Amino acid sequence: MSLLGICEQIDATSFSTAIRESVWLFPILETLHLLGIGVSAGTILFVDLRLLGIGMKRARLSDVLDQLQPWTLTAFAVMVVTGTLLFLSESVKCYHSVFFRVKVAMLLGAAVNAALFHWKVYPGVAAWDDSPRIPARARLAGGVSLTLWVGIIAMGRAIAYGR
Amino acid sequence: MFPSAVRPLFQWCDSTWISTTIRDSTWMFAVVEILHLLGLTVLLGSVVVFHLRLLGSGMRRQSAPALARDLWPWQAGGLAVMIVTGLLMFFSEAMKCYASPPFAIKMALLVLAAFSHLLVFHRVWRLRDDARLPVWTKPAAGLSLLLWFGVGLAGRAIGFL
Repeated sequence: MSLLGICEQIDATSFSTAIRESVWLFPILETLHLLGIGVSAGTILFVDLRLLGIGMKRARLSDVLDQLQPWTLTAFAVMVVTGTLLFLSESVKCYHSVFFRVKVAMLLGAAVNAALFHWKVYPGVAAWDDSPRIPARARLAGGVSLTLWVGIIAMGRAIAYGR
Repeated sequence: MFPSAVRPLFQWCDSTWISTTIRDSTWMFAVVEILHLLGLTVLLGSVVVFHLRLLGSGMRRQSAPALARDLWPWQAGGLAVMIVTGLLMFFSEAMKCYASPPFAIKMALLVLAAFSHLLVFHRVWRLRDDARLPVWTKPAAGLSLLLWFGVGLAGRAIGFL
């Protein structure tokens, strides 16, 4: 079955229809999704700013990262759950939306970037944890993350505006 | 929600060239709203980080005053972006806002949140790094955080109702 066919089947389920046609459910999910941004992207932002050496300069990188990560991950879980439900409620619209596709690609990019940072760059943090001079690879990871998250938020909002 | 005495003010805001330019453009409102959302991420992110520390739920290895000094430029910057883009959106649909209960509620919550936030922030800023946080910080921080989330909630509702 084609991807579009699968999306049409999802849209036709009673679960999907119930969210789409509910007066309250869709707005509530979307609002939770929006407030989740403040916590998940907001905390990611401050790790990125620390990596770039332009924010949180008084704190060690490992302090910023370790102490914010539980909140980033919790809020991200909220984003994934509400985001999945929103997608299920209008999957055909998402299928046709260029913005949705770009957003998914950017999310994958952000995941790859985060994984590379954690496995390849972060293990050596002890050597530069206190230093204001951060290795180029770490700064690159911060810059890529920051750029992708700005794009993810912009694309996410654009999905609702149309094609 | 607003007294009819201020109606002419809303009408004037609704009729400036800025309002009509944004209203008549297909993409301008969308761009302004996305910038508003990016400002929200910066502001709410820094507000959350600061309040987690005050509530004792995160960033405990940093002192609250040091965190306040690290975060204030981002808080001020995020808020500035939100105010400018917020005003642009308001001008483009001032009459809609005049009749919108969520807008009135958002403005009331915004004033309360900003006031409570500044009060807490200012007091913590002036503490010494090794000072214990006063007992009122936790409840006050909890209240501020709730108010900020309320502002966001009511803001989203403007588009729905």
